[in-house]
Amino acid sequence: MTIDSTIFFLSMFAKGTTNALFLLVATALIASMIAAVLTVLDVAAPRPVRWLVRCYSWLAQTTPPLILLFVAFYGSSALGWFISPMAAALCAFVFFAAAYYFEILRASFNGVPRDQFEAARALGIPPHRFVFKVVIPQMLKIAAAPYIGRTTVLLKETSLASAISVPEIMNITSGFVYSGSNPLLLIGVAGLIYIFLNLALISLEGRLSSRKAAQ
Amino acid sequence: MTGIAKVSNIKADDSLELPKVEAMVELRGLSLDIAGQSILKNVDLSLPKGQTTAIIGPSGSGKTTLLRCINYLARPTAGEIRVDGQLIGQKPGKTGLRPVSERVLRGHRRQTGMVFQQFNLFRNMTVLENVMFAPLASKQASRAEIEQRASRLIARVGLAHKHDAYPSQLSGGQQQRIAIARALAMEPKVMLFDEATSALDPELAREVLEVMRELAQEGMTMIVVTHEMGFAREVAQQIVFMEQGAVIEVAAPDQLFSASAPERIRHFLKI
Repeated sequence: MTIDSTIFFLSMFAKGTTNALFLLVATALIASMIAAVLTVLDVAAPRPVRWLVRCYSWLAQTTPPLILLFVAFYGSSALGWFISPMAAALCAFVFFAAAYYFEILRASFNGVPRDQFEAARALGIPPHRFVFKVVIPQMLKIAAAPYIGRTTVLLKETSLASAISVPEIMNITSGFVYSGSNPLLLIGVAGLIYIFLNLALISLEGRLSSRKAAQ
Repeated sequence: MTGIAKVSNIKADDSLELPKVEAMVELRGLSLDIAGQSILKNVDLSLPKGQTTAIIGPSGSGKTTLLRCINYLARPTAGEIRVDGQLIGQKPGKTGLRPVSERVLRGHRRQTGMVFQQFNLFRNMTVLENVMFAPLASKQASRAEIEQRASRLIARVGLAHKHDAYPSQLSGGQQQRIAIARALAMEPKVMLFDEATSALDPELAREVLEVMRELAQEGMTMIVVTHEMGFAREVAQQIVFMEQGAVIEVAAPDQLFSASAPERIRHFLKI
């Protein structure tokens, strides 16, 4: 390889990694906010709303992500609504990631021992204070590990966005493969990037739980 | 004050008369029905200030429900509760009594301290934070004052060295003593104990009972739902015997733990 082609190769992979990371971080942030709202609805809203939330969650978790990507990309353009592949991928990813995050938050809410709710009532502690000082800290502690775990899966799932030509890691890789470069080398490079990013996520989880372990 | 005078007039059954001491907690016509089931049946009680009352009786007799009604954790279907003369959970309206708002109810609840069978400590908070949480939330004093008082209470239940421990690092007995300190931190007028030692082995139960005994001796008004007959007999000034949601007998321990007690009670106490 010449120096020029090496620089091109690296810059393309850097671009792919940046796009994958953008998709991951944007999805995780938006989906987390939606999941938080869904959790509040599931805990506090009237029964029909709770039922709707559960239906959405079931639908989003059982539909293959690739179908969601196709619906978001080809479906929107079929309706005359042209959005970029990245925007379509973001919509599809948020749609199913919010459901997974919601399930984690719901389970962690259920994991907060109920007897404390009664103690707070007996002590005359206002509900909002109890929620912010007791319920949410305990939920976060329970949720941390599965949350990061699901996010590592989400990182791997960003590779699916290559199917609608989002220029992320696997899209760049297949571009080079089709233009005749060594496929094993390319797949190896792509694999290493995912491993490296996931290790970073996992070490973040380790840091979070060692801090929480003090409790 | 006026409420207390009325109570003695209302009492129809002489056997329910208590010694003539000013009442801290008064229950009148208290009933609770859940799904057609009568959990409490028209309970009238007057519990004197500065004394300890033990509530005993078989399982399912409504002892715990009665206790939970006093701070409105359970809402009675009918009747009135007064703590130190103040109506709890209700206020007079144009057409009789109306429920109060949640905010007002929180104020009412702060006048009673509740200790639960399972301790119910806040798991993510240290011992000190547990005791300080409620006073901080009600902003009744400065942080420094609240912390000082919390430290005193923790020392009083013998756990000064456990300030910064989390509940999971404490034995059941220690957790329950902290739960008592936490309830005392609101400076309640009356302490309610709901089978506070039932989840503890005899040795740990003893250290909790010791703290309760000291509180009683210091003149705290206490209502204790318990299966510890020894404690009831030694510490309580009067014992309430309940069965099937009704108060069957109110008597001094000496009367109740004697051969002259009614047959049903002697059977329950195995004497």
